[in-house]
Amino acid sequence: MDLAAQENSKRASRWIKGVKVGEGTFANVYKGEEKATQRKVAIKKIKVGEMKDGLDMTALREVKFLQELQHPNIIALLDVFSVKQNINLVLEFLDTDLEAVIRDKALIFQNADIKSWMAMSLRGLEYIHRNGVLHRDLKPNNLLIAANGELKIADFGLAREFGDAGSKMTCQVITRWYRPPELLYGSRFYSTTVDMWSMGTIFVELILRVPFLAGETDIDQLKKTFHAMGTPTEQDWPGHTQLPDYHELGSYPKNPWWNMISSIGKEGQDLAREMLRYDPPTRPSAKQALQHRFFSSYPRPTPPIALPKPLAELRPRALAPDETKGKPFLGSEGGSGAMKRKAESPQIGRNVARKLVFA
Amino acid sequence: MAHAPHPLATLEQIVSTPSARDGIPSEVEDDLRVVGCMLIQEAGVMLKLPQNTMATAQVLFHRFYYISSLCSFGVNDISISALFLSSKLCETPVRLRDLINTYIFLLARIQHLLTLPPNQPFRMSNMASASTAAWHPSNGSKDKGKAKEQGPVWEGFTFEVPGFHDEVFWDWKDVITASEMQILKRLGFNMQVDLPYSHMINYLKILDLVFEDEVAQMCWSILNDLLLTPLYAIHPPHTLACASILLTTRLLRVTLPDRWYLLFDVTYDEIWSCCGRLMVLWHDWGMEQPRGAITSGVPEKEDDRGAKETRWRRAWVLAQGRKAVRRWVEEREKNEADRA
Repeated sequence: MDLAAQENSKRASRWIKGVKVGEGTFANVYKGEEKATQRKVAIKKIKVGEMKDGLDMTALREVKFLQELQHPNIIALLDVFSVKQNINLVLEFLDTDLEAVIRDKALIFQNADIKSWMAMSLRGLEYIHRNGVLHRDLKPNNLLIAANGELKIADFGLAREFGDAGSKMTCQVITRWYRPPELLYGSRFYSTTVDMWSMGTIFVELILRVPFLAGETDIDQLKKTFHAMGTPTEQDWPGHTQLPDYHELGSYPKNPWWNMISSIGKEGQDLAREMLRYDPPTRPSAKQALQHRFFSSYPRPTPPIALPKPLAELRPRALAPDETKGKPFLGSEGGSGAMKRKAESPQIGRNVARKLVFA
Repeated sequence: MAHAPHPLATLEQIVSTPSARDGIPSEVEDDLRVVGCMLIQEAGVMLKLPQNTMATAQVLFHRFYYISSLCSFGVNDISISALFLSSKLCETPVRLRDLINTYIFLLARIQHLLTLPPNQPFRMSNMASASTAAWHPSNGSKDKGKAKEQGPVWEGFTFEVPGFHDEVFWDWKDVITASEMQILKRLGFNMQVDLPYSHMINYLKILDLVFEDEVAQMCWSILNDLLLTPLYAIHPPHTLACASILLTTRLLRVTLPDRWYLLFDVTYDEIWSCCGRLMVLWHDWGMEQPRGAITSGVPEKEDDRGAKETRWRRAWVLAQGRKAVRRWVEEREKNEADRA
C-alpha cells in the first residue's frame, strides 16, 4: 500500500458509517459519526459503478465547490474518501431543512423569523457569488437547518463557475418553481441574478407558507408568473422578446401582487419586488439585498437558536434531484424510504395543496 | 477541510518522485510526461475543447505522477482519463465515444511511426511539435472514416473508426472509469487548478505589452508548451506567467524595465530556470528551432536527429502501459548488473 492509499484509508477510518437514511440512483446517505469526538455527520456515498460515463458531474461539482467554499451559512464538507469504487462525502449533520419548516403547520412565523432566515441565506449566497460560483438550485429544500437554528445552503450538484462571461450555460437548471423567467425563455447567458430570483420566490414562500409560483410545466410556470405579476413589457424587461424560447403567452394585467405579502411590512414588500424584477440586471445582488432597509429596520432578526423548529421526529436529509433521477418513488418502509425530490415533478409525495389561489 | 487553491508538489516529491523510487531515470520520466501531455493536447484539439480543459487535464496528469509511479499506472490510460475528468470539471463534457475514438486514432498513428525502420528519420511536418511556432495538431479531425495523412512518413497508414459494439470501446471505457477514480482518489479529491493564462494577460497589460505584435500569442504558446513539463505542478501560476513573459521578451528582443518581475512577486532565478527547462524541452522534442533562438540557422545534425527519435520511440513504447515500463526497468537493471 503506497502513501496515497494509506492516506485514503486513514481518512476512511476516521468515520463510522451508521444507518442509511436515504437512497437515490446516484447516492445513498448514511448517518455517521466521527470516531474521536462522536460528532454526528452525514455520509453521502456516491455510487460510481452503476454510472454511465464514469463519475457523475454533479458529484464532481459538489466536491469541487464544497472544498472551496467555507462559510457559516454553507454546509461544511468535512472529508472525502473512497472505499472500493465509491466516493464518500462526509458532510456536517443537519437536522432539517427550510421546506420542512415551512410545511409544518404547527409552527407560526414571526416577521423577525423570516428576516433571520433570509439574512442567513443571503449571507451564504453573497459568499458563494463573491467566490465566482452560481448555485443554480436554490429552493427551501436545499436550505438546511442545523440544530442550533443556523441555516446552511447545501447541494452544489448544479453549481458552476461564472468567471467566463462569454461562456454558454444550460438553461435547464433550478427547480421550476424557483426558476427565473429568463431561464424559462431559454437564456444561455446569465449570472448571479438567477439565484436572486430564487431567493425572491423563497422569500415570498416564507411569508405565504405555500410556493409562490408553482407551475406544472415550463410554460405553465411562465403563465403563473405573469398571472401573478403581469406580463412583462418591453419597458419592464428590455429585449426579452429576443430570447431563444420566447413565446407570446397572452397578456395578464399588472396587479399589485405585493399586497399578498403585506404582512411582512413595507420594506419587506419592497425587497421582494426588487428581487423579483423581470429584467435580470435590475435585481439587487446578494450584497445589495443585505444592505436593504428591510434588514436594518425593526423587528430585528430572530437569533438562530430561537427560530421555530419542527417538533416532529427529525427527518433524514433529502436527496438532490439528480440523485433520484429516474428512480421510481419508493414507498416509505419503516419511514426511511427514499424521498423523491425530482426537480421536474416536485408535487409528488406532498400532501399540501400547492396551487395558489389569488383571492 | 481547508485546501490550498492550487496544490503544488512538495520538495520531497520533486526530489524523489514515485517513479524514481521504482528505478526510472528522471530523463525517461520527463519524456513520458511529454508523451502523455502531447496526447491530451492533440486529442483536445481534435475534440475542439477549449485550452482551459486541456491545460487542466495536463496539470492533473503531472500531479498524478508526483503521487504515483509510472510502474503502477500507464501513461496512455492516465492521460485519456485525465482529459475525460477535466472535461467534466471544466463544464465542457465530451462524449466518451468521441474521446475513445480520438485516442485510438492518435495511438494508431504512434503505432504506425513505431513500425517504421528505426534508422530512418521521420521527417514529419505535421506531428505535434513542442515549438513556439504553435502546435501542429494532426490536420484537424481526421478520425471520421478513413484517414490518410500527407507526407511520405504516413504512407501505408490507414485508420478505421471502431464499430459501435466493438470490444475495444468497452475495454477503454473500463480503463477510463477505473483510472478516473484512481486520479481522484490519489489526488485526495483535490481538483482545483489555477491556470496562468489570465495572470499572463494581466501582467502584459501592466507592462503595456498587450497590443505589442505577437507578444501575447507567443506567451500563450509558451504556456501551452510548458504544460509538457512538470513545472505546472511545481510552480504557482504567477511564476509560470512571468516565465512566459521573460522568454517571449528575450526571443522577440523586447526590452522591459530593469527587474520588472519583482512587481509580480517572483525572483529571476525562479523564472529563468523555468525558461531553461522549456528550452530543454524544445531541444529534445522540438521539430525546429524556436524563432529568435541563438542557435537558429544551424541545421540539426542527422546523428542528433536519430538519437532524438530513438528517445521518442522509447517514450512511445513505454507510454503504452505499466507492464512495458516494468519490463524496461528490469532489463535496464539486468544490463547494469551484467556490466558490473
